[in-house]
Amino acid sequence: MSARTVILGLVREALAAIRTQHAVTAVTVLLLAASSFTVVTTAGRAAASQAAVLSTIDARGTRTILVQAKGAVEGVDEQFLATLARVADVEAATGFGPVTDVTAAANPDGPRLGVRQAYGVIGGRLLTQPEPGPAGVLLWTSPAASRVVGLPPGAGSVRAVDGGEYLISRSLEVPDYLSGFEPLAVIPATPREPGAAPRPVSTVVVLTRSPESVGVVTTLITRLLREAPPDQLTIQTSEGLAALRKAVGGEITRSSRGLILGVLGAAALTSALTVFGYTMLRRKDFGRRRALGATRMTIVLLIALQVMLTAAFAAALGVGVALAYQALRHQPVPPAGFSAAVAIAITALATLAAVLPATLTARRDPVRELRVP
Amino acid sequence: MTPAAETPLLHARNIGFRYGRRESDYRFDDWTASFPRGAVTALTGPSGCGKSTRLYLLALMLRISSGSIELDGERVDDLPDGARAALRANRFGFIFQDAALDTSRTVLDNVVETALYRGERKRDLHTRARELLDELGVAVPADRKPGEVSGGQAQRIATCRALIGRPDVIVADEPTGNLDPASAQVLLGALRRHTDQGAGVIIVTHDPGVAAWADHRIELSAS
Repeated sequence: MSARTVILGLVREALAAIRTQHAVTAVTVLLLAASSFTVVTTAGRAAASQAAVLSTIDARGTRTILVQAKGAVEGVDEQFLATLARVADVEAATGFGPVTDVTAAANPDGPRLGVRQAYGVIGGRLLTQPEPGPAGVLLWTSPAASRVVGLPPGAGSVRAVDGGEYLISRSLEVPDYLSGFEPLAVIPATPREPGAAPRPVSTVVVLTRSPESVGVVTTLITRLLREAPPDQLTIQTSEGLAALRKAVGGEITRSSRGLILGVLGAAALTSALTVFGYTMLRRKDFGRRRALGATRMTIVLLIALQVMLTAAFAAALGVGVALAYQALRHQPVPPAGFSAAVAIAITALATLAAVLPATLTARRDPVRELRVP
Repeated sequence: MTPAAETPLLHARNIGFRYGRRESDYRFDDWTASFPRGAVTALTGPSGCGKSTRLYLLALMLRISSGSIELDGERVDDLPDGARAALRANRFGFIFQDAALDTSRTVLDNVVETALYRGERKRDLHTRARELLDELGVAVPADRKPGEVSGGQAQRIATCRALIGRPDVIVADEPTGNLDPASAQVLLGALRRHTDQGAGVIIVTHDPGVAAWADHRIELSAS
């Protein structure tokens, strides 16, 4: 006898019990689906609102640190960027050089666009370009930047007011933390010559991995730039927004927690009562199983599996209907993680709650149970 | 290892039992009996003398309060619950007075039910189950629910369930009590064929005809 055969046998038996015990299956599905629906449409809506508010706050840059230098300041250079990129708490660091105005090459008198030499990473893409070829220096522009000079996204060429020509080679997707730089057009830095001094940058935007990391990374930046003259350097952080984010998240979570715990507790209690009622109604059935050779563990596993499979179906149904209901009413839909957590919690709690009545059933005297009329 | 020829299949040695703790509760002490292989042993006696209780003690469904029970010469009454359940699933077959079928499942499901407790695949027993149903003349489709069949048919199905695992011992608690003579004859015939293959059958009965048909008879007196 293999463990796989035993487990598959138990699962098949539990599924057969679910199919044949219509009343208990229907009651369990109804109660647990209603619990899941309630959590998703109440606390889930709060979680969705929270996610939306936090997303708005995040878009304002709760994780960004802005370093600005007046002119060439010692230490604010591409080496500084490389150092920051190696810090675990830093997700991205982008450096910009001074701005040069350009116009569309075909329309020298047209609207002007500021382009910047750029170093580091934008949106996970490393800013590098080969040595300038016959076509000129390559330029990356956002769709908004291309629109300014009347060019299609990622194509065309522009000319600087001082005469330099740039070929637009890529359409740039601007991440939220750089949205303040729109319309953004950048000249990716060429690789540094071996032995050459690091090139200075005028602005550095650092994106940390979490709002909580802003303080630590700011301290690190201050230490790295301690030799720079203070009047030549500005460091702006988003610690205020990070504190707001934390407060908003905590407030909504606190108000929902009581409701979630209440509904989950009620789901567990109803599961325990339903299973208790079911096992009392089927005393003779379980007594027969014990008499015929089922161990106590087999009885507990059979009942727990029956409840677990029913609860998983009920929770998925309740969550699915709740999400559809929210979407149809154009109300905020909770994050996928929240919905999955609700389904898993309902299933786990209902199963755990079934273990006590299942154990009581397994411990009853089979001879007595067989004599139940 | 083959047990010695003289070793009884099942032996109750000076066993005692009591239901509850009060003096007035049912009890008996110091009962000894042997049940050979290849034979039918009938337990008879007046109502309330403890025939069924002794049957369930021998089948390890109840715990004795004194003495010992041996299966093939090995003591089994002191085993933990899981081991006793495993012995019931693997070595015993049961026929209860009222068939005790699961009315929510099909006839075939009922016959192969004990496969789950032995760790076997039910599907592997479907062919044998159908053969047994034919042999015992169960005249209903195997996918029918037991609630739709007569008492006689239900008891035949229960007998198929007892035989499906080819047990060493079949314990039957008044199996013919509610049956018409034809059904009783079919059931007893199946038990006889099983003993012919070396198994032992212990049968509790009020029916003098069944008691006379048995190879051995143990008469219990009212306590």
